[in-house]
Amino acid sequence: MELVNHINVLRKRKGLTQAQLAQAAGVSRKTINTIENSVFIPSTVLALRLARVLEVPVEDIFELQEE
Amino acid sequence: MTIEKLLIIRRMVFLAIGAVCVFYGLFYLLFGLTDRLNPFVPGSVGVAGAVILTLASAMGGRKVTQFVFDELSRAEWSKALKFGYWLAVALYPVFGVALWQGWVTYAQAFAVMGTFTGGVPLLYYCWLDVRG
Repeated sequence: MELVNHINVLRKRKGLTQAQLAQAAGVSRKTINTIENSVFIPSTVLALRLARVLEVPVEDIFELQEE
Repeated sequence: MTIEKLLIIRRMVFLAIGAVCVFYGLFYLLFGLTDRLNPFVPGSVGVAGAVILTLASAMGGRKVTQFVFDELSRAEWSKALKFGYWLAVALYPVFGVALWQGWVTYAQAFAVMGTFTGGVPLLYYCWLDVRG
């Protein structure tokens, strides 16, 4: 199973830049960038913070896909 | 002090300390300059770097510091420390053989193992930080 995320799409839908999302979630812009590129998998706490900022359930951001 | 400025200062400080440590070890190893290099150089640079980073973080305040030393930063630092640990473990047999064969002196082995163990994780962290 592979973890995929839709942060990029959800962020753009909300009209936020990476820097703005980072500011709202309390992390650096690089952290958002690495999450979007699937280089870094965030903790549950950060995933929930991102979900709160994007106003979507965390399952909408991250999902497990069958390989 | 902005987030971007503190990020750059941290990168520069880590790079400077790591480079000084590694070059110091390399000079000892390659040229055997045991009587010309001050043994307090790597430690002094490390302490100076820690002071600079602490002052810069204090100027930025708690909020900016939290952004800079966030989850990704801690994960990358942890990865760099793991790399440093295994490097330190690997240096023991390497320098054990080198000492046994008489290729290096105890002073050289001590200097190289100590400075590499301290400096390489900092350089590795810088590389992880820049790579993004």
